[in-house]
Amino acid sequence: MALPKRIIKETERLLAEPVPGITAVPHEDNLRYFDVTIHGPAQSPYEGGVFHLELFLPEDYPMTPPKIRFLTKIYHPNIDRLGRICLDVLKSNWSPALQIRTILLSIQILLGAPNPDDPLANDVAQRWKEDEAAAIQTAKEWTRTHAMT
Amino acid sequence: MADAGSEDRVTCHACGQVWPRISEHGLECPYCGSEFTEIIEIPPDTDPDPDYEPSHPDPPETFPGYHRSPPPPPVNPFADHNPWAFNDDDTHGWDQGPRVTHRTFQSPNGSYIFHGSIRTHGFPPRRVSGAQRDRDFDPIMREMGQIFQNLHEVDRERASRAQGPGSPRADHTTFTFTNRPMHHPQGGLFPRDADGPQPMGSPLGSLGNLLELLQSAQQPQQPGAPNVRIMGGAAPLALISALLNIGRNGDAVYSQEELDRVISQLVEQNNHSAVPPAAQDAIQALPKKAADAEILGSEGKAECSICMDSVKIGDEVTVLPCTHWFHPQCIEMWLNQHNTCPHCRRGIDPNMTTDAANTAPSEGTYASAQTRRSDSISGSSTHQSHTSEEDRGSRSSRGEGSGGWTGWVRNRLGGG
Repeated sequence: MALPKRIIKETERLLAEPVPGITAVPHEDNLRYFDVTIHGPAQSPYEGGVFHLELFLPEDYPMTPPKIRFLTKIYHPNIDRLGRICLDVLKSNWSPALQIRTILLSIQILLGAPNPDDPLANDVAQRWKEDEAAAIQTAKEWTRTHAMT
Repeated sequence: MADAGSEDRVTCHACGQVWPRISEHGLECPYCGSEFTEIIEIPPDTDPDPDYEPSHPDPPETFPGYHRSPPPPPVNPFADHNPWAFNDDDTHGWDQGPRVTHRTFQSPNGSYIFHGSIRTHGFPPRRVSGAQRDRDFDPIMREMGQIFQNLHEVDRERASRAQGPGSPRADHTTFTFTNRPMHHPQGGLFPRDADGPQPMGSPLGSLGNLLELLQSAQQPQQPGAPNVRIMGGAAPLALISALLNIGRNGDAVYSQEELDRVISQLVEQNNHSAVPPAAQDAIQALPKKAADAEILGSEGKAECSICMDSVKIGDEVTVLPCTHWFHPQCIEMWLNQHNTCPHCRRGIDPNMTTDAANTAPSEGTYASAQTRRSDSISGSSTHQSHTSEEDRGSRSSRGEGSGGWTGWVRNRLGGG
């Protein structure tokens, strides 16, 4: 199936006007599959880390949201051990007016604003609520161990 | 997330090897040198207990009759990578009807032969490396060795009591396990309709059978009867079903991996139950007009934010009640799936105001971490039956809009 014009346009714009701290590069042999990196936001426990993600545009994109997963291990209450992300715009609040660019920005913001009240990784969220300082320390350690090479 | 302890292992996506993680080693694959590796945690329920080894001295190697299908060849699984192919409606690899595999084990002293027929229905093959499967399997095998040992002791005692020492007795006892087909003719958990009632299996039936079988196994053998015992169903419950299905038994899961897979599926299914489609006649009744300067702004051209194609003066567009416009075919395709404006999320039916107008993902802006809080259940189907008054009422108390079990699940999964 031919690649929809929208995907080509989005890809061109992502490469031409990259978002600061975010890269998204399509695979040569599968233009719906992107290698993504997101830099941890400043003043967050993820600062200085470079997180790798994979992004896939399903057949009926943009009618359905892109599928995104963290490949780099990350300690975050809304990201589970398999890298799945709890973000409403990736699920039921998806809208075709959203784009790869805006979704990746949302994920970057999620890194800066963890939300332990809406957890995906329950044990992380619990620790985040009980002892935020310790949780942030763990997040920093994980960032150092896994996201800085 | 479990802490990164010394129990972690690393798997190589390039060659499929698994090795224990040694912190000073780095994450490079020692087998093929690839850096495409991933740290995997050992699920707590298959964690080898340090005190476990001494009490079970039989290593799995003492089962000469243990046959297992060879692990998949180490091809690069990412060659044509679509990590979600198995979660979607893609049917390759499963729904190919029941498959039956056989396993045979022999106890260390050769007195017992264990034969298992495993019948699987429509589940995808678990995509784990051969080495990891081994890891899942070995504790179970050790457990089986112990069981065989104990059974042997019991049997010998009984034989000596009943018949006196030295009496002739069969040298071999064969246990045959056959798991019964699972209660999901449509193929297990997928594609279950989370909104509809599900046929329930009858675990109590199996339990009754199990007790019966255990009882009969305790009774002395009839002389001359073939020394074969049949055990059906879910014998020593979790252990045996874990052995037969390696982690899965119908709706019950016994490993972290399986749980993850099930949750993934539920989350996937939940995606499709966001805001319901708009009514056909409401879609058809939407006004279409030629794009003019008022719509397109001073530049005289703009983009349809669904297809990102440019719209020039004179092109036909569909205008929603909220005044946002799109290509007619683009917005029709979206409204056929969800009754929301892609920009402001308002519904097109004037009688049914959708309540997500506060989360407006317009071009140039993005959903902030705060808008994430807007609950995903706003469009659940229960809203359709509400009058507009009730609808306004539930708007002020989001989270209570869809009660009952499905509402609870949506609350859990939609937000999570």
